[in-house]
Amino acid sequence: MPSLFDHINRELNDDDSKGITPLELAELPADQRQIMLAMLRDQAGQQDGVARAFLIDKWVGRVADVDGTLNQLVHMGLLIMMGETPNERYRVNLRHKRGSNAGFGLWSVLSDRVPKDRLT
Amino acid sequence: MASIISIHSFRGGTGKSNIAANLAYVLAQRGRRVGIIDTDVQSPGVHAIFGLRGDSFSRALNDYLLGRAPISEAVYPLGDGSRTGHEYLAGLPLFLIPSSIHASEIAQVLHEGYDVGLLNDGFYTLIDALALDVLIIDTHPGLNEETLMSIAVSDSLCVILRPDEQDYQGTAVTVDIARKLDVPGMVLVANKVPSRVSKDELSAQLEKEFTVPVAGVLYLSEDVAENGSRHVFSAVYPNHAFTRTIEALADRLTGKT
Repeated sequence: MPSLFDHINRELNDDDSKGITPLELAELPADQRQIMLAMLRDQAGQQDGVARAFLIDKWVGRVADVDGTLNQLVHMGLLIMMGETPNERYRVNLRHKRGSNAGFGLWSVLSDRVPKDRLT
Repeated sequence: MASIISIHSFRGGTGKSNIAANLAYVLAQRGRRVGIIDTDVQSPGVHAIFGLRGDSFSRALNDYLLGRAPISEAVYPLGDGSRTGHEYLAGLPLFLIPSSIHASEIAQVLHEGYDVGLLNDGFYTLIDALALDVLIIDTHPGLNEETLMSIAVSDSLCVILRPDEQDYQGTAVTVDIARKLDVPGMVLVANKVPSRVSKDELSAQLEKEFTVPVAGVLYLSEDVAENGSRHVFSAVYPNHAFTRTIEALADRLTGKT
């Protein structure tokens, strides 16, 4: 039976696969993509997120179902929802950039060699 | 509202950083408050053009991305007149956010990865804290996550290419992605163009091929090559054809033409 540690460890490791990369963002259906890009470009909303009311007001008439699209994006894990109804705010959930698979020892060795090589 | 301009090329060696630095200088000289950020974490270099040595800055974008410092600590005001030989920068509202040139620092970012959202937050924090009119992003060649993020949040994207088949094919990929990311303004700049090539013919050919306007054609120049990234070329050669083209590019990217 998996322990609590296993569960937490799995959750933490799964974090790398959550969220969206900019390349995946480019491949979203038009309605979803427009809303996500507008949120990324919203200077004011970078810290506290963008209010649902603001998004609906901005996109109504331009996106077929703004409310439904927002719910879909949250359900897909691409938007992070903060606050409670009716004052929800949203932020784009960007995926953490994965590190290189090369062992860190390799980089350390290279790093150590650079100053020595410069001296010779 | 500040505008974000990404300078990008699919392949390396196109003169991207040089064009970004000169564009930043020209805009700052016009009184715009300009930030220039080197997001080319893997192969940084734009700092050299402004007279900074790799060992002369204690904080860099790497420190921010790895959570070791706020981005404000990685800002270097270039107008403070502290760089001997680069006195022409004195008094300009120009701010540089370099990436570290130290192998261990580059390695750490590559090895550990980072929160891409942090990079986006950093752009807007800089715009706010420095009251910038323009933030210029010098990107990593090709398409990686920081480059795509930069393109996604940009108001304008300037794609640099040489008249070279490899550059053409790579540029087609960049243009395709930028269209999907709905970048509001996109232009091409042809650099290192041989003198026998007609500017008008090349522009027409590129515009037909990519259906993107050409905002400048820069001829292969021994003067630029001789400068060798030691100075901001436009400051040293204010009447040079290269400088005139950069000025026209600045007009285009800031909506003056």
